[in-house]
Amino acid sequence: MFKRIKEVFLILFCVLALASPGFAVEATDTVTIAFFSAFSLTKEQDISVNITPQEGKSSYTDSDFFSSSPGKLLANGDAGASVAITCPDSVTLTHTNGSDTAILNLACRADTSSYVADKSSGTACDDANLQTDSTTGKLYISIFPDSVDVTSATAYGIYSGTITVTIDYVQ
Amino acid sequence: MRKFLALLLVIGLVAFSAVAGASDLGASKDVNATLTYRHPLSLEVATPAGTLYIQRNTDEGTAVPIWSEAYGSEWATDYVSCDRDITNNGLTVFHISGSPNQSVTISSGNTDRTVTLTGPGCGNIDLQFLRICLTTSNGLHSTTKNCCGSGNIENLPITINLGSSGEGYFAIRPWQIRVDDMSCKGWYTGTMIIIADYQ
Repeated sequence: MFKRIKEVFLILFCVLALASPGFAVEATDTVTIAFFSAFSLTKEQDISVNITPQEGKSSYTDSDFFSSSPGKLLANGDAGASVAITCPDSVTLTHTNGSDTAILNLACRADTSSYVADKSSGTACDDANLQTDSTTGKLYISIFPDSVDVTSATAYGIYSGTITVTIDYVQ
Repeated sequence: MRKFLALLLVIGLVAFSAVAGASDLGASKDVNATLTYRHPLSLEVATPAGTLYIQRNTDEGTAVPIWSEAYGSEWATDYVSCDRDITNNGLTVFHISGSPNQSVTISSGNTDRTVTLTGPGCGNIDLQFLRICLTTSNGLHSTTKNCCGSGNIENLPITINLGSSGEGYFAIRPWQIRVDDMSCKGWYTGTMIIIADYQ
């Protein structure tokens, strides 16, 4: 019994010795735990642009587009959470002939209630204060084709490419 | 030994923090982007209308069968009959080319699709080009003289598809006439305007 009490005191002494300023250095750090539901991200529409070329012209703004439709993604996460969206500003599209290319510049916008109608509505996807809807947790992401530069003004046909959009929680 | 333990403690805290902030709760998705950079549309007359001979009060040949019914405000709607050999007179064949598989709308640039033909000075003839002749196979005209087969005539405007080749033919045929002076004989001319544009 006495031996057991000695062992307990010895352990306590060691702990106190390590904790004492005279025996140990001290370091602190902030511990953060992300306690959220995982995001779901659903693609509801791809991006498409239809251009009727103008002679000698290789750069087109969206006002030159014959028609276009934005990419649409629906994000669903925790309500009122701060988020960050990663969306490229442009994508290189490749002609079906494998050699000609076109640069499609993009404008990404987000809104908590619905897909916005144009690139001036909603909030820019790179806005630092972006949040999911405070009730539903949803965020509607629209990726508008903004302008197009073709490398060859006479390389008519179909061009295609892919972008990757990412959404995540931030502190 | 003590420094080593302290270092382990710091490493442990930093590692825990890093794990807690990992992005495995986020999500990513690929979005496809497609640009259709279309060929400029080309529309040209492949076979001109030529001359449509109109003869009064006859039921045969290349003539208007019911000339008298076309008088005044009434339209004669059957003067170009499919079972009559009208050769290619009055039938204008157009060649169109553009981007493959794109839809194109064909319409008339004339008011009410009607061309007023001016004559020798004593009267005019209104000629209405209502009809486009299409084949059933590719949606475009085959350039044969008789494009009046059942099921291949449509009113303007109409939307056609250029198909995999991106080109083809269609024909506009006269449909009905209206004459304001039956006694005014001679040559009448006018300009038909046909517009093609991507849909």
